[in-house]
Amino acid sequence: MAQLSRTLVICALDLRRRVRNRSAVITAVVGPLAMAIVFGLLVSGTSELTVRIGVVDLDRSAASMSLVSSLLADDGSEAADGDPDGAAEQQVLQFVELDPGGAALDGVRSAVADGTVDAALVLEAGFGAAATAGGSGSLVVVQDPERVVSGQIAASVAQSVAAGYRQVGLSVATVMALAGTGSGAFDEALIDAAGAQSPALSVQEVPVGGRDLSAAAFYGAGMSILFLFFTVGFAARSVLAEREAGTLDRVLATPTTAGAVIAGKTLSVGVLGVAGFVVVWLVTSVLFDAPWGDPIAVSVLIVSTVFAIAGVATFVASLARTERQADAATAAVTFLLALLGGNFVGPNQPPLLRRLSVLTPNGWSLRAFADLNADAATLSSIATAVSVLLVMGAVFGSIGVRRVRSVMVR
Amino acid sequence: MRRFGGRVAVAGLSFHIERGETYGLLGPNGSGKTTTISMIAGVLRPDAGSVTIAGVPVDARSGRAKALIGLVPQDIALYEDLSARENLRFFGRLQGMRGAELERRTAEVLDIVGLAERSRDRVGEYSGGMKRRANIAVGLLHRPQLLILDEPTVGVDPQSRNQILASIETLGGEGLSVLYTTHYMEEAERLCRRVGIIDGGTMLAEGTRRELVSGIGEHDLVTLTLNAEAGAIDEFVARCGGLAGVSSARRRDGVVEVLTDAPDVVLPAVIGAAGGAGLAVSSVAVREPDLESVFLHLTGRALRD
Repeated sequence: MAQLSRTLVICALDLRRRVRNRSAVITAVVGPLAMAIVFGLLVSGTSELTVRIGVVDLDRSAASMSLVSSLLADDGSEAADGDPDGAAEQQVLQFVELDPGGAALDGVRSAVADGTVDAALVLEAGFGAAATAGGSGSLVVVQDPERVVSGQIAASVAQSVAAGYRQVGLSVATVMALAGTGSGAFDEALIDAAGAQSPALSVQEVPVGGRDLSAAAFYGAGMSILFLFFTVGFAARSVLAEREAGTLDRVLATPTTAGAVIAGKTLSVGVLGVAGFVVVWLVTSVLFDAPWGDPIAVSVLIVSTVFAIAGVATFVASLARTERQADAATAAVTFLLALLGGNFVGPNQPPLLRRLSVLTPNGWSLRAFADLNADAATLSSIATAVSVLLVMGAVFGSIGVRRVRSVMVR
Repeated sequence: MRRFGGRVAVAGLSFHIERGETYGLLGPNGSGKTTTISMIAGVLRPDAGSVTIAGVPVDARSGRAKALIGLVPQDIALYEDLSARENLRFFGRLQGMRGAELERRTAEVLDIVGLAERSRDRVGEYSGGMKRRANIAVGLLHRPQLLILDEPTVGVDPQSRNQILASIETLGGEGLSVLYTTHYMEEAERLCRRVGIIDGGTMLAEGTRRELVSGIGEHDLVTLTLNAEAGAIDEFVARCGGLAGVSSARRRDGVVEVLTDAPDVVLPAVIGAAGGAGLAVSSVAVREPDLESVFLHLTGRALRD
């Protein structure tokens, strides 16, 4: 209990000092907010999330080839609102045919995993036969559980296909029955002809919710994460600074334990980090009408992001011997992770960057923020990202704290 | 005992301080004084040995023992962006003080060190002497049983130095035990009843001033002030060292100090040597040796070397 009290005393002192010299306000609020506004204005308010869905035809029947052709022809292009000439036409959905080679499903999974496509629809062998028998065939959706929006779009397309085939099958069966030729099996050419007329495959009908990503919200989150490294990395750096200034030894000469010092400093940067993030969230929401998504999920994601970045930043700072070294290391790692994590490039990352981004807390957090921002994800659908962030924070943080503690207990 | 890597910083050091006693730890820079007090304050773990304060063993986790100690580090260990009052409140809370007791005691120690009127100014705006006094105030705040002062007058102007030394004399008179480290012999002689002389991390000698001086024998200190350049004085010192009856000789600032047990023989020989070297002697004195002489006798080096 006494150590908890000392933890709070240290936390309060650090908060007071950082607010008083304005460094906290600049790094936690002004910096990310200014960057978010600049980036938001540069990309004119909103950006489209382009989803690439691979289509794999393992059946090679007339029905399956017809469906693939239909999908490839209809790439989800749509004119932007207020642009009657379609000059700003952007592709929301792109269908690309995949050749998985002999590995079939494994090859498709690899293509999704490595970011070549965001999700895939696989028309398995027997798809055409099942369709001619009156069913919808075997249609497999391959998705990355971390790309919630893409997975939901692919699943919606599959449901749309199935619904379309059911409608076509019923129509053809009715026509054949009326013509007195009901043989128990549909005429494949007739189904193809009917399927080609079917509007059921139109992606405009895909019910995936709002697709516009708010640039202010996305870059608000991205820049908050970027500046978090400096905000929360302060805990370990201030231990080094206080050691150099002699105040650390003086604090440790009181009945205060090293653990209480670390906890107090970590608590103070955690409060600052979360507060800064929330301010950016509120300001971009009010000023730019930026939709960040489900408030509870956003809150959980902010806290877990702050925890993860605090862990990584503490680890990085703990590798240094002096505050100056820690500052340099933090800056270098911050910008490296920001580049890899996609803080600067927006939601449509190149495949290589998307693969590398899973190594960074930024990447996990930004992807989850983008999903929430697109109004397609809930707390449960970002659970994996939150878990990864918490694990990253715990692993790097525990190593960092152990190293910082060794500086204190000599 | 304490090592840093392969280097032994402190070894075989043992002493005790009585309640209400001011004890001096005298030694040159790098002799192990700061390492020793860091172990006493529980900031540094000894590799071997133990420290006990009023019967309570000290270690890094021992809050009970640490509450009995007030540490005043050699460097100013204060938050310069906070006022003296804010610093005191912070360290007081870490010592478990709260509310009216903390406010009352803060005002008391600010009075003791003469900073009451400037207590709301930021420490960064203080002079060097004021910072030193604020540094001491934090050590006194929680009424420790043992106050550890690590070279508290380094870099302080004479006026502030006198003020600090007077404050410590007052505290010693009030029953507070004080461990005072310094490499200023005159401070140790003024403040401390007993002195431990430390060098190379080991205790060379310990006792009252009289005991220590008598420990080097029936010696006297012959001092000569010469009007000459340093190089010429150094040559003269080397020549004095070879004279019969001279135990040791050295230059201290512009003064030559010769330790001897036969001043009646040595004095004319030294003056003769100076004349022979063409050096003008402006003053001569023979007096009882001091702690500086004791250190010179024990180590062959001056305290400030």
